[in-house]
Amino acid sequence: MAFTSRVIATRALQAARFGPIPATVRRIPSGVLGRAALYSTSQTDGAKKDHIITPPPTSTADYRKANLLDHLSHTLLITEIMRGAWVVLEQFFRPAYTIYYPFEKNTLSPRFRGEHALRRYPTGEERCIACKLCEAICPAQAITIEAEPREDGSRRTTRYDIDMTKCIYCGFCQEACPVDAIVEGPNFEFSTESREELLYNKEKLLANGDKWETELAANIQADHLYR
Amino acid sequence: MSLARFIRNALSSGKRFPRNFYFLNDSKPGGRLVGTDEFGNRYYEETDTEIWVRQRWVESPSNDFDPSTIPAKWHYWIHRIGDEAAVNESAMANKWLAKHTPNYTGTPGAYRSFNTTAPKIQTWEPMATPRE
Repeated sequence: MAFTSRVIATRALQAARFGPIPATVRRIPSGVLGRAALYSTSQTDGAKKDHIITPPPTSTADYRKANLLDHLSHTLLITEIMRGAWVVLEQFFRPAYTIYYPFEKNTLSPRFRGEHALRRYPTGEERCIACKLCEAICPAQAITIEAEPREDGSRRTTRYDIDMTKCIYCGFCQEACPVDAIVEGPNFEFSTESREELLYNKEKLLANGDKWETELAANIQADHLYR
Repeated sequence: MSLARFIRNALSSGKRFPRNFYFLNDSKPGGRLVGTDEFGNRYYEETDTEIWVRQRWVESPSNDFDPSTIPAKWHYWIHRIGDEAAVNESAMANKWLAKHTPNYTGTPGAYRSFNTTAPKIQTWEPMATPRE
């Protein structure tokens, strides 16, 4: 079947390039034996000549030689440049399709994976229980966690560092998290002037969570049916 | 830009037109004022004449607008994740929510990383035993 479709495609291409194919050529028998019969010497010379297609001009030089007057007039009147300039002129009078960032912004998915944040429960208690699943799954090994029992006996992190220069924003940490503590938020405007500012610690991540919580919660709510 | 659109927008946006034309390099229609945030950014919407991705925009009082001043609620709205109903609802008004801060990089307010645990390595303190 693949062979047949290739033959059809080739024929369509030839028809497009060189005009309709002569009837004798179009009736090429299918199969190896049939083709062998077509080119066999048992046919008369007159019939064989019908199958010869004049090759089209293959190079630009050949084309120019064949249509010298056309070629010279196009060169003299720089028609290609004029056509290009006309397209530009048309665009000038059309409304712009460009988004004027930062005043206009593109659409964002609730699943967008941007800057990280550590979330809290509505009571204000931090969610992270230091299970270290995110640290284990992180393919870039960007997360470092140390944990200790707190004064009230609950297990919490004392260190939650993310090296944002290592992070590849794959989102595995938020997939691994059993309590929705570490999330990748919607913010992507956190570029910094120094590498040092990208070494996030727990305070910075919790502050991000406090800052973006309305949107983080809304995004998780929007996506909860698919989880 | 389309000339008809340019004239129409210039008439409908009125006094705001020169400023929009200067900062956006394009004219914006008058639009509907959806709200204002604590930084004074004003959020407009026009769904009839604008193409769909340019229907929401922000106009800032500052001449050097920083997009990181857009707070989380309005960030949610201007990126078209949700509608303004979500902006106005106060269900998530927890006490511990922090005030929005812009990206302070390059200023004295920039974030500086620090260690959140006690150091585990005791450094050697050289002590010379006094000669007897």
